[in-house]
Amino acid sequence: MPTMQAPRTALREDPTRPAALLMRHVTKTYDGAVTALDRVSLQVQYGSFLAVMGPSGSGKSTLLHCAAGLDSPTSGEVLVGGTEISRLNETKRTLLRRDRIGFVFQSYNLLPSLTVEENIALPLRLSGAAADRGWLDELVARVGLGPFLRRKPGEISGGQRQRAAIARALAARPEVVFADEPTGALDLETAAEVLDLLRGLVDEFGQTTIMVTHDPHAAARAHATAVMADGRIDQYCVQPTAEELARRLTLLRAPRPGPPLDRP
Amino acid sequence: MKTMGRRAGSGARPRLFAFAMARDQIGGLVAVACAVFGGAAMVTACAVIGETGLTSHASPERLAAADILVAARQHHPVPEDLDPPLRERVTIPSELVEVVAAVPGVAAAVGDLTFPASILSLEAPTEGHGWASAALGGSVLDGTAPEGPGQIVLDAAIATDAGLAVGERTEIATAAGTAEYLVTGVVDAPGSGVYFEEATAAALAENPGGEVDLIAVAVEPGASLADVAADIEAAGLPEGLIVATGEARGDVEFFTAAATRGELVAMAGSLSGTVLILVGCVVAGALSVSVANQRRDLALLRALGATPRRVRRLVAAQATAVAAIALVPGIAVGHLLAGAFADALTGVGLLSEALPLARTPLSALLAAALMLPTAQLAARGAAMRISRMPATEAVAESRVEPREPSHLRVRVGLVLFAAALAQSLLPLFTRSEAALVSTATGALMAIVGLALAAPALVRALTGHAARRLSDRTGAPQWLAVSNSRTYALRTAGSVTVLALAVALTLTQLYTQTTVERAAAADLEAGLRADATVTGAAVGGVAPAEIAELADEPGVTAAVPMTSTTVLREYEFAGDRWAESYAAPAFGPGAEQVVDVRVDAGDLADLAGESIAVSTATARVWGVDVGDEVRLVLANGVAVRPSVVATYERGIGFGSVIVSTDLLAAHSGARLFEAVLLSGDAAAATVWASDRPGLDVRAGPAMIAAGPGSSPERWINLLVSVALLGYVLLGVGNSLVASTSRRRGEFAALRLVGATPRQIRSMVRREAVLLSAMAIGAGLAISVPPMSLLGLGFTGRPWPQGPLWPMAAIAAAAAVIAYAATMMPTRRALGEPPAAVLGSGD
Ligand SMILES: Nc1ncnc2c1ncn2[C@@H]1O[C@H](COP(=O)(O)OP(=O)(O)O)[C@@H](O)[C@H]1O
Ligand SMILES: [Mg+2]
Repeated sequence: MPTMQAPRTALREDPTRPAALLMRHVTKTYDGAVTALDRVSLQVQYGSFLAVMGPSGSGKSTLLHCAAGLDSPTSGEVLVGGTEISRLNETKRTLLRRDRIGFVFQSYNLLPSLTVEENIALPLRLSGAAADRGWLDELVARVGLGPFLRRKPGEISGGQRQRAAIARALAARPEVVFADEPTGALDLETAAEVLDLLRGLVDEFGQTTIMVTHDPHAAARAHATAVMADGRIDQYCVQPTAEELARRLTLLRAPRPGPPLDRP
Repeated sequence: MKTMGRRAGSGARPRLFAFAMARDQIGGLVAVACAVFGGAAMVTACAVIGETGLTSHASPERLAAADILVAARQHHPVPEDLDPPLRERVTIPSELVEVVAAVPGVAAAVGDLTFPASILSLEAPTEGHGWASAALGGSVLDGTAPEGPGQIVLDAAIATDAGLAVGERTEIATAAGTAEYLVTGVVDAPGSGVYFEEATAAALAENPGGEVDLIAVAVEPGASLADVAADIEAAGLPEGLIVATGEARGDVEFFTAAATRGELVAMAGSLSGTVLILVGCVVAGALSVSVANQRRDLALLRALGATPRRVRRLVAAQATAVAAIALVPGIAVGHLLAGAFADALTGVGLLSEALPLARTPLSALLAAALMLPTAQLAARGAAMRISRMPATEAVAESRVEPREPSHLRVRVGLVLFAAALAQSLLPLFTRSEAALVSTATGALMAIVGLALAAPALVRALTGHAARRLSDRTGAPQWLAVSNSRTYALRTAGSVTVLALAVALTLTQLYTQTTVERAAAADLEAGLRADATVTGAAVGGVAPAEIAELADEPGVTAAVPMTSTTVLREYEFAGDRWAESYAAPAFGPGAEQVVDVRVDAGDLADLAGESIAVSTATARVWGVDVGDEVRLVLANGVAVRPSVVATYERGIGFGSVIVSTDLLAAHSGARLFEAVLLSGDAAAATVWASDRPGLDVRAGPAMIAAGPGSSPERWINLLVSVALLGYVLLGVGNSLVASTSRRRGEFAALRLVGATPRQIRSMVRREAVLLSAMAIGAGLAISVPPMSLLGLGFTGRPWPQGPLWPMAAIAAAAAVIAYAATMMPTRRALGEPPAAVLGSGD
């Protein structure tokens, strides 16, 4: 089982503390025919930044959805901060997501009727928790949205929207932030800024982050990269360079017979 | 969407493409289909009624044996307007019978008469005619023709019903009184009747100047019917006569049925105006939702190189295809609807049972011809903005409406509110039909005003609600308020349409019930008779019997009463117009049995050529007591009676009260609907005991002459309830479609931690907010004018009538808003949020 260890372990050295994310033999099949995940196991320690790469259809999004409790696996276990989530019902999963998980999507998914500030504070409002003003202010300052708080999402740029989405993901101080191709819709320069931000949040706040990406340069900003193929974690590289990742991916993309089907 | 791109790239024909896209946009297109379905049903129903009015003929019965009928037109000619129908027979000079008889090819010409003549033992009223009209067709006669004043021939059906045979004697009640007649023959003729010898018939018909109702003509064998008819027309007949052959003869025989036909056309015409506007609005609304649902796809098409025109054509083709499918069941239901509508019209006497409904393919064609272009146009209109946008902008366009409600729009709306309020004050000053019209137009103004001001009002209201939110407000409430506020334009659309439905229905309903209550109050206070004599079994009470009754000891007054209509001709803007009034007629002594609350003059003077006019009507007419008025009686005779009194109780008693003397002097034999007595009711009962066919009831009879009894009003109400249903369907559809579009929003909310329960709660609160605003606005623009009407007409300042419809309509609006938003929300929450967001929505 590839185990992800945060480099600055000193910060969080506590043997009794469970991993931020633990997946054991997770399988996900669609309609009993397509095996999107095939007995995947993965452990991510607190404070670490993991990138997930792989060809299209290799199961990256499915992995993320199962890990984040958006979808329940066909078999296997998923533990977030030590809590088993794969067998919870939708409402319980939602409550757990609300407290422990943050999301960043390629398409931002901000609510157009709310201001940037309201969007960022929305998770807290939904959970009924008292807003930690100090934390929110710090977060807003960190993502650089101070001047735009009263605008609607329709009135700011794509990069700013993604920053707002990142701030929203962190508002409730989640144990893990999941990001599915967060830079997919951005131009190179903006994408680099957003990656800097994500990496900065990991370094400064110890924010555990798991990010799906297509871009080897993006993945190289993480502590480690899991490369997926056919619903499995094919390779696991610690602190790889972008060039090395690009080479490995090219190898993976070589012609292969058909999509992964059910295996015993 | 990827597959779409491929199809567009391969240059698929727009129509195929339209269907392919339609599959993905079911919600919006179902809304369009429902709107077209309902619209087609209503248009078809209107068309069937209108076509019936235009082309349907009653078939001739009693006069079927006559080849040609010559009669006067049953309309009063008015140059600049629809000719109003005349409800009593317009008679023609009897000399014309000779003129027609002299036309070559005419075998026989008979002056026909119709008058009340009821066999007492039959206990149902029948009509009398001259024998010659039955003899015309050479019907088989068992016995001999009537030869003197005391002889009659019965048609076979009546003879059987009454159990009479040739040689027997029977008592017959006519306007001249009851007398005994000998049955000399039984004839097997079409139609039914009691046939008298010609001179007796003329005497009993009492037509002034010995005029006849019409001329029935038999054509010589071998002569050409068309030629003879043309020759008759050319024979120097006076103006205004019609020469009818074939089916048109039915219209002459059943002239009252024919008279209603014009009204059917007018009703279908005015109805279809309203229906078309509503259908247009609902279809356009449904299409704009459907186009909004396809915004991304259409933008993508533009990005792939489709021209704006092609995009519009695509949307129009799609809409037309859906409309064409929805038309078929719509037209079928429209025919059912027309049948139900016709039943209702027959029930209130607006449609004669003698008229068959015209069910031809024409109405279906008309519905198609109206609905398909409506769908086309509405679709093109709805797609205009998106098709013109630069392609990239169309893809990126934010879902938030950028437009602020314009100030001018709001200001015009507020001005209309003020004008509407002013209009609804009129009932406080005059208790008249003018006040009703003013109230109705006021309500329409208020609705238009609401449509204009609604976005600003919604924004102001939700803004107010938003300011009352605090950090401790629950998330669902907070989200619901900010959504309603941000989407004020969208919210206002639904609010306006719902409010319109509520307000329009309540206005129609309470106008009707208020007037009815006011009329009932007038009549209760104004009818003072101690007893009422009626003669349902013999068609009424004869004048001779009234004279007898008045001489009876203990009876101080016996006043005949009947109802009629009069037309008032007037000049306006240089043209001649005529307005029709339903009017009760009272005999001399009316002041002793009714109290119409005389304002000026004296009801005791209502005798001879005279009328009384309600105070409000006198003001409109510009006449005073002592003035002469130009009127046309129901049989087309122009008269100039003088006004002897004006009175206040015009809502119950009608605008005009006519003297029965005026009718007697200018029309033929007539029985009275009732005789109102003052004096000892017991004396009248004793008197009537040996007069079969007459009934005496203690107390006054209700009469129905004022605006409260107008059947059109109930029809209007019926129609507006049908329209209400359609409008609610339209709103429901739009809400379903626009809520379905929010899947992405719901999924995003769930990802940041909203539970399905919180989202349902948010949508529920939005629905509550929406229906509260709609019901509030609907009540706000209908209850005050209805209360003013209640105050003015009945002295009670609240809507007069049952209050449950208010609750029922409010509940219907709330249920629609609730169901149409909650159902799609539940469906959307059934999908995993990741799947929704993954699908790129
Ligand atoms: N809802 C679904 N129904 C059926 N098959 C699915 C569904 N979602 C994903 N798949 C399949 O599962 C596999 C993995 O998909 P996904 O995790 O989205 O891959 P990636 O994100 O790496 O492109 C693919 O073969 C895909 O077709
Ligand atoms: Mg993916």
